[in-house]
Amino acid sequence: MSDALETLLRLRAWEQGKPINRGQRVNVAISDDEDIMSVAFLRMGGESRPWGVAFGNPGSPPTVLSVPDGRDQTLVGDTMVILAKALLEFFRHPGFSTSSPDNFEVESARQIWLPGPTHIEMLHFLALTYAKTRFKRDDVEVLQCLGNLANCLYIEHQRPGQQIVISAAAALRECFVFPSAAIRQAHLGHLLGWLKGGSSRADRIGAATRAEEQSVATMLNPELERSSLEPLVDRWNEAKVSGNKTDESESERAISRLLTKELISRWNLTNDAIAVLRADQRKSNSGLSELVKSGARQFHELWGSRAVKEYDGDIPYWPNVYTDTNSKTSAFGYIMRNAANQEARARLVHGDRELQREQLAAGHGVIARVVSVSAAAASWRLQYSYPPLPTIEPGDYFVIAGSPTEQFVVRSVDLESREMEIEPQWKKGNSKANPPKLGPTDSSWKGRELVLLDDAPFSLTRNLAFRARKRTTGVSDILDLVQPYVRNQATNDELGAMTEVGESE
Amino acid sequence: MGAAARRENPDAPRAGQSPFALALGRTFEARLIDQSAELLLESLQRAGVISTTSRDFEDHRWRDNGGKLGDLDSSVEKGRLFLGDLAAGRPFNGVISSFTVRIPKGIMLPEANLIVDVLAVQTGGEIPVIAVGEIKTYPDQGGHTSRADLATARAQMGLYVHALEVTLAAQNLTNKIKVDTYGFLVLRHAGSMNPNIRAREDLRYQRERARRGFELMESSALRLNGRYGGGEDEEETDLMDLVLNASTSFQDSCVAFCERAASCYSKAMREDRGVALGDDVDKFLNGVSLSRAIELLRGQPATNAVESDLFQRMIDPLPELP
Repeated sequence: MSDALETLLRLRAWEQGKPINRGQRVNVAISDDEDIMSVAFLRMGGESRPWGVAFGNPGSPPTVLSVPDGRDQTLVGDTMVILAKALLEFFRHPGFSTSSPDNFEVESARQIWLPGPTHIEMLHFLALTYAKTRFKRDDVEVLQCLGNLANCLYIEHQRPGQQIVISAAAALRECFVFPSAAIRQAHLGHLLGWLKGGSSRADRIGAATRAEEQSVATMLNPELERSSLEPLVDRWNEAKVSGNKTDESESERAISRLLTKELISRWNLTNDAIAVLRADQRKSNSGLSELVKSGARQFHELWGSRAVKEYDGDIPYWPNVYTDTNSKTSAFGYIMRNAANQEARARLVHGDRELQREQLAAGHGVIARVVSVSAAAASWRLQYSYPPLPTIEPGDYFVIAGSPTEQFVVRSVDLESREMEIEPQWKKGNSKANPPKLGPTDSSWKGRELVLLDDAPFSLTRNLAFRARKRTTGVSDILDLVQPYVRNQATNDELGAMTEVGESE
Repeated sequence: MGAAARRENPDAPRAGQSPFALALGRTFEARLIDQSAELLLESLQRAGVISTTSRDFEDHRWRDNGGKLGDLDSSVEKGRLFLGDLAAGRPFNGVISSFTVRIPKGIMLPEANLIVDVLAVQTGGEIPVIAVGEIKTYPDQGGHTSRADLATARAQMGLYVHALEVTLAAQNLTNKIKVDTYGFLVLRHAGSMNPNIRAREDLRYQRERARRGFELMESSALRLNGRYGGGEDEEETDLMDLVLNASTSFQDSCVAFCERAASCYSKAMREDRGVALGDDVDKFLNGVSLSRAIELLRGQPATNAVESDLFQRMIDPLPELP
């Protein structure tokens, strides 16, 4: 969507005094309760490990874990082992569940929902902390598995169109246009305030503004830390040193009460967002199921197959937690994300007429009337009415909006008369299909006005990505000329200097 | 701005920092320079900031910052003497913690003290080279580290480079010591208290930005004719009024850092300005008020060229589907 259109929609939402629908369909997949793991984190100021976490399926009370002092590596590690086992079982890691990621084609699609961007970032912190940890404890492998899963979830979240790692705030923005500044829309409470805060614009603004006063991020309000938590944490540490068990357990309980309240509030907001989306009157986009299937396959390549390999005793190559350090891997990732973007557009546009309008306005298609259908040569003549000056060229591929299997190739275009000749690529109709599919030479096509959309060649783009990644020996590949990345950095983990391992060539 | 925000609204929340984050910052910095900065020196050597034989360390922190020097003036004096010694040929290969410089008084601006977290020094070449380093306690996320955080740290380092150049000029040492325009960041490794070093941070443009910033501040101070304060809550009322009544330019980015953002936002709402819905809406409306834009959306005729232009841009740009 163009920036100007987004601005205009925001003005319309303001005019109506409430969020307005974005699109005619809900374009976010929402799994059933048992296939959703809703997770909310808290971290102590300055720390990157979680101080507490709430997780569970939306329909049941969550498991809430916290430690008295978020700086205590061992205590945090203990809670993360519990979270790890739950998450790894949820994503069907063979070591923690009776199923396997290899069953992705037959098992239900699973999702992790988090309140917003800082909670997604927490996945990266878990990856940085645990994926390659040398922390000496018996169950360190469980933490390493958590680190690698968290890293893959963090990477997956960046893939356009993915439906596995969902930020509740982003999901709401995907389905509604909110009448407030973009910077305020990262706050899940603000968005829910607009959606559920009353019947008038003033009521909704009030609710959204009040909600903003409560932190929904992984960090607590500094004032709460200063006035309530800091004295309790100090008391707990002092009691531990002095051996005052009563004081230690009392302060621990008080800290836990405060953190639990904050965690539950974030966890509930996430589930409120899910409930709002489920209650929406709009239907789900019919293209989502294909997108979910495709995403499951890609997440299996990213994480599942590696987890299985590791479980079987092999040593898989896990993605680098910092970045791609190899030009070919970077090129592969970049082109694959382009392909994912094309795929998401192609899968969703047929199910949502509002998206079709946006695609046409962006120059990705034409509105045309069928002037003639040639029975013998299977070619059609069309007269297009929109856009006035399309960028169509002979050889371009189009599909009929809402019917992606009905594909054409453009043979000629006359910009003066606004006429084009196209060749249908399907061979015959299917009267038993729902709706029935006409054959390409069927005369009833004549006179119809059609929306034709670019046929996004995402599978070709994917092939290009694999070619970019392929190792070559000649000088014809520009990536071979890229100088190896020279590191000007030094990395230390909890035990000291780390040997930096780059991506395998 | 915090003081101004509380003057406008005594209940305005103090942005403040987490007490745990502050404590962590102190612990992290202390750990880096513990045992003659062994950990810091080794890491900087590995990142190529200093040579592998660099072992020298000096602690210029004053008492309030956990050091041994008596007060801020002692730190400043120690820094000044160090630069003089260095220019005179003192060999030093290593780092100095909390290297403190005092930017001389401008025509109107008061003198300013700046504390460089870490100063790397190399005297093996033709003339000594000093490089600034900034310690940040947020974790190094590699390519995913917040761009805004990195930009802030680089801006800070650019300011230090400029301040060191001004200080050297004031001591007539410009040609005797070179300030490196590449600095380094000392971040934390996630989940540990050990550092990750990011070297070769290009500070040329940030230094230029700092230099220009100082010029602008000086000219602003000239216009104020000496009427400026320290930004404290108990500031004289007339000085605070100067701030409170100055025109502001509320925009999206204010929400992220300014304690007055809430009152500026309310003011934008009261004044019916598009910026209340974001920078993009403000630009789109081109000076037309929000309520007038809504009236145009609802079909009221435009009364001038600006409104006509806006009306044209508000017509649905999407095609009708068959």
